Amino acid sequence: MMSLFWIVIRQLEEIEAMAASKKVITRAEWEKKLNDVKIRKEDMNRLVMNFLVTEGYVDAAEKFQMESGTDPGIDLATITDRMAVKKAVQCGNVEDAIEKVNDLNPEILDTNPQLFFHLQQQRFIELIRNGKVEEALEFAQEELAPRGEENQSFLEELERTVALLAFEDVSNCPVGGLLDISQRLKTASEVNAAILTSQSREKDPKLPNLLKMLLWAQNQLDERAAYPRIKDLSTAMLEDPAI
Amino acid sequence: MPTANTIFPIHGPVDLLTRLDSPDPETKLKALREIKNQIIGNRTKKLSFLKLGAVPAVASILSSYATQSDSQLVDADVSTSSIIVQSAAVLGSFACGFDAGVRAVLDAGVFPHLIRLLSNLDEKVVDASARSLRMIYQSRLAPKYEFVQEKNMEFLISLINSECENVTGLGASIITHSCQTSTEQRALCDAGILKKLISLLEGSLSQKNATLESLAAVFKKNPEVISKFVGLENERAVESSLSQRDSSLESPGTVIKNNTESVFKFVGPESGSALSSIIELTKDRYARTRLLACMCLVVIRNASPNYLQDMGIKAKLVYLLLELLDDPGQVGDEASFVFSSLVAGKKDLQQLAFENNAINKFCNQLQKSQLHPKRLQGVLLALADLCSKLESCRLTFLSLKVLNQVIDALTHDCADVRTSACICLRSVTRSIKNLCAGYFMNEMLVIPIIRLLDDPSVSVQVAALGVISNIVVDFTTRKSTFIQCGGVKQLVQLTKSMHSTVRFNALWALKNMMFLADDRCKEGIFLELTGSLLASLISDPEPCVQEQALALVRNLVDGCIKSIEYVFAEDGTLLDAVGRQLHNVSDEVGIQGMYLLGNVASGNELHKEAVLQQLLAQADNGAQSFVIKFLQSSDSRLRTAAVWVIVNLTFPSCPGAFGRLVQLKNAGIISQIRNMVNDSCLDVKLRVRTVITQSMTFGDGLT
Amino acid sequence: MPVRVEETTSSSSSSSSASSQLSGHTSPPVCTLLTVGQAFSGTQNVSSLQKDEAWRVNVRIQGCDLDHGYLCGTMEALNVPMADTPVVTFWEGEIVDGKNYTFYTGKWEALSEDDIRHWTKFPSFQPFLEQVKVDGGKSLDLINYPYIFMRWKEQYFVNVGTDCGLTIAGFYYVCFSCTDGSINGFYYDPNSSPFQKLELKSTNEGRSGFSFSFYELQ
Repeated sequence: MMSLFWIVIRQLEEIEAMAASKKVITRAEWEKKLNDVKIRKEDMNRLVMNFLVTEGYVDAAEKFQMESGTDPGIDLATITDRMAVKKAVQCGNVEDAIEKVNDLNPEILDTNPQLFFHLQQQRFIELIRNGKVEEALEFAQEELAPRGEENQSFLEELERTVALLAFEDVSNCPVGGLLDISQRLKTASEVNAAILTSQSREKDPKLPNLLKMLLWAQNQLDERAAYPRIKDLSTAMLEDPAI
Repeated sequence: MPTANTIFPIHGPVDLLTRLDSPDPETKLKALREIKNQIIGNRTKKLSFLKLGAVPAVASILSSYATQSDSQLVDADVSTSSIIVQSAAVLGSFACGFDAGVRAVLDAGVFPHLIRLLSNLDEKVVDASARSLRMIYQSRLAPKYEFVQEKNMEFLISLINSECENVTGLGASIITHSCQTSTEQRALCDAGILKKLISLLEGSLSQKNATLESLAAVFKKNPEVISKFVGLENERAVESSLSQRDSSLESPGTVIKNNTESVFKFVGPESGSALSSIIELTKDRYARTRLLACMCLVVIRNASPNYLQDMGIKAKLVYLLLELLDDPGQVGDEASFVFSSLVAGKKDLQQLAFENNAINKFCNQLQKSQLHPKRLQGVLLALADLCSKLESCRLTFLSLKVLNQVIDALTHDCADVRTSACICLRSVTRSIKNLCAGYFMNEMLVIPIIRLLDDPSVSVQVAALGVISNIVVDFTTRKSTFIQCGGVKQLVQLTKSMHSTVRFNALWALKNMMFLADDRCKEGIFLELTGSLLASLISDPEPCVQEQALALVRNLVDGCIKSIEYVFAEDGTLLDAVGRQLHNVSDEVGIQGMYLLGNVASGNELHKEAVLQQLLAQADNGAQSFVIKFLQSSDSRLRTAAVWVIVNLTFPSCPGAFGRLVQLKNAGIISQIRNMVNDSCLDVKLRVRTVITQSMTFGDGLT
Repeated sequence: MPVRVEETTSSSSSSSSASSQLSGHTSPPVCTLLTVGQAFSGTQNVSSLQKDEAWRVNVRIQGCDLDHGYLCGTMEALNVPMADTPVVTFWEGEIVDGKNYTFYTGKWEALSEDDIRHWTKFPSFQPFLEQVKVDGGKSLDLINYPYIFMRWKEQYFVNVGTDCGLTIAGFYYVCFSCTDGSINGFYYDPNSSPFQKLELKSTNEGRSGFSFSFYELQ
């Protein structure tokens, strides 16, 4: 796939140099070019490992390490810890998640007020979800309000969140979206990213970016040439150019 | 596993503190963890635990367990380690971004224990202690670490060489905090720390950031250290830049995207040197790292003008810092300060920033509501530096209609914001074109500025005086706006301040106000000041205050001829004070004094005689007149001022001119003047010739 | 000084990018008689074919920044026939120092021939003529010359509206004498009568001698 990307780019340059008319590239020509590009297997393996580690697939990463001998570049145990935190938030167990983060690295929440606020906000949302309105009210006063005072930029979000208290039927109110699972996932991925950052790891795997670049490059080339194109990324099948 | 039935901790703060005292290690440990989880990220909780005395309680647990751990070196109890780790984490959190917490932790005497724990056998203990110490060293309240002493330097080196990330980070933080003098910078350099720091630039995120900060501290205003640093080959950097070169040949995509950058990187003069590691980090994916790398480069540029001179890097720094300004958090707040130090005093960079729309970017920030005070302060300072020299910047600033936002900042709760709002206005009001149009002399600006003269902070007062000094240079008749708002009374009060900078600046403002003032305005100011106060300010212990006081009187006696009488009020105490003061003064003070005397000498016979007497007062005792010393000065401005006095004393068509000429000749002054007919300064030469021509009218008076 | 709007008034095109930094101690003045606060008075000849006329003129220097070759001040025209009060304008000046500015104007509708034509009217310019034709005077050492050449361009009316029937479209070629502080100038505006002569002398406001006031921006 990476080789394909490079060829597309090179082709782009070539065509730009020649300019004008749309060039036609046959499947045979294209495959020959593909075969000319040498990519080291180790690089491909590293790309896969990067994906597994960043996304937190510990078991798969372990297996892949055994089979391919690729170094994950990180103590796999830390992935387990990180995944435990992520899972706790996804299950609505925010308090547990906070304790786990603090055990992992007490600096993360002490130096990241926005993340801390979002976790507290999630705690509040979980209280509302469980119908514990009185506790939620108390929590909002004691924990959320001071965060808004400390940091003006949280105020708007704070008001939107506390609005949950005002509705009888929270699932059908204008701010009901906060109760969606997607909100949990958002918070969970924010924590995940913060832990990765603290471990000096990329927040995002490289693979999706490469796919985006491939699509971009194909789009660029489309205007100038007919060539065997990948339409379905999941199969990566080359489709014959329409002439 | 908490089963989350109880969302709130079962234990309130008081209860938790009691549990800390429990003899049962398990209970203690739990209480510590709970306190930790309550205070992390939560300032309010930190404060309430602090008030209950949690810090000394936790500190004493740490100290006693630390001692225990020392005595059981071989097989430390697991719970001992856990308790140490948890209590260190609690103390670290108290010290994190919270000055009151840092103070409490330091007061609790736990510092030496934490240091000792760095050599503990348990990695987790070392890590937790290092992290807490790092928190402490990030505060300005931390004690200075005297690493110049040999033993301490060894310890610092051992920290930097550690395998543990938090320990190396601690080493870097200690350097950032404690490296202040050039001796200390050199000591670190001689100890070989630079090489180690360069290698840490390739470490983890927190190591990179801590290292960049420490490098900035080591480089600050020290070209010698910087040149050593630049000379260091960073082998790994060379290697990596070579491998990147290969891969960039393979991947045209990168070349297309970063063409100019890669060209710059590979052909730039810094290629392969240690400097390139820092330049590389300006492209880091983390905003904070980019900012700190920029800061380092700015420090290098400011100390050693030889490095980083090409347009590429200058433009890049401007561009990067303006981009970082968009970061909504701390990085964005700090970006303005780094930007300020990049452009301060440098016209070429101000021009470059101007062309990159910097004024618009900073003004856009001002338009936002509820800015964090730190950001507001930074933005105002950046605008101040941008508008300090270039009129084009000032005119753009004024066209963007943000003056009201700056005026609002004059009444901000935070003193630093008030000061920077004044400094910003001071730069903007340097626009003579707008001053001449009376643009700044309106109540909207004048009233809040005058209020700041009462500010409890001296730096606010001084900055406000800076603005006033500029806006009172007003050529329309609007000086009265300032007087009506009570400005003069306040300024006169401040000339009696115990701070010499306040006296100096208040006089500066009054001097500018006196420039071309009308008779009524002069009279108003003089009545408020009084001759005796002026006389005492002329004899102030600080030369800079004397200079301003003399310049003020110089302007007072200019204009309408009857204003000369002011120096003769109260039996001429003022004029006597001037004469006395001039016997032993610096060039700057002398210049103002001589112009003052010259202005008086442009009056009538009485005025001229009085000035002559001041010049000759010492000469009567056989000593040389101060005017001869001034005429012989190496400063052409002082020679010019002195000759003008003589021009006025010998001004033709005055009845007493001949008599004065004779007296000047007898005092040796005329022969001194005659030696100056070919003075190297054109202005002096021309005035000397004026004196000679004038004396010709009296026949042979000169020979 | 403003002149009457003639039939063919061109729009005034003024651009001043002069920057100024006056705070602190800057370069010493070339001549004390050309420093802030100094006043000059005299006349401007506005004669045309129809009649002889001269207006009384007062000038005051208000700002000076030699590092940037910058000078500014006000000009007051006293007996302007169409105005009830004296008309005051604010002007900005370029000092021909070979560094910031040369003898060639390069704007304000002045061609190099116009420049030469005006400068040569000053006898003190004669020694430079040949060199100026070569490089505009960039290579000349003007620092120690007892005359200072300038261009003064009026920027706005201080005390009257723009609808006063007067124009400040042109600019002055100015020659200042360091010896006695006298000023000669020629007003140039392609749409006004040519070579209107400005003659000013340093004034000492009833004093028997010279007096100097002073301000500094922070």
